[in-house]
Amino acid sequence: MKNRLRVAYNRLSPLQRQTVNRIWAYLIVMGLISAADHFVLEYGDRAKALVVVFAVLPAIPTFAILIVLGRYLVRERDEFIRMMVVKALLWGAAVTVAGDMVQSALSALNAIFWGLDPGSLTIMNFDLFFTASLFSLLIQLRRNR
Amino acid sequence: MKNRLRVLRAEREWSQADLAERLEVSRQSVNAIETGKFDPSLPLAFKLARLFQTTIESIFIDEP
Repeated sequence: MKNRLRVAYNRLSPLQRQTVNRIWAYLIVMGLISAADHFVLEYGDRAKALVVVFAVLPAIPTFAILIVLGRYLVRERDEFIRMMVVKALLWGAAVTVAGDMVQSALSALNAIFWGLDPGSLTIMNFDLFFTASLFSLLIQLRRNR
Repeated sequence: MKNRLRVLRAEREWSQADLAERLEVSRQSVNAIETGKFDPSLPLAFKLARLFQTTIESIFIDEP
């Protein structure tokens, strides 16, 4: 699996590699901010200003990742690959929005499954977006081998 | 839209990867154009025509 990932990574163009590296870097930043968020809001001082700051902080890497993706799309010279990436991102957005709709409906109905409050799933938005986009891209690559 | 890309490529004994390299696109792009799944943009169509030293309309066949 690790070898296959390495082969796939090596097949990427320099621009694609740069984009993937930057996305990973921002994802790590996002993870660290989320962890700090959780720690501060759970155990730290819950002053209103601090809460607002920690609520806004995760939005920064989110914007950064979307900007990285946008820049990639602008700079990608292969129009077919560009089309596949746009399709994949649209699938990601569709799955995320649909997931949010289900989650809001469950929240409105106060439905709790396996002790999990659906309201807490909002934080998974980005994971859902990336997973759905990645699956869509893999399916398209497989179809167009 | 149908095209004669596969034939033109075969005449020159180029693989899809060879053509992709000459066009500076991915092999998937060449495959998608050949199978009619994807219609190239005008600049890429011109590039193809230049590469095969022919006209765009002799590569791509417009079907109503």
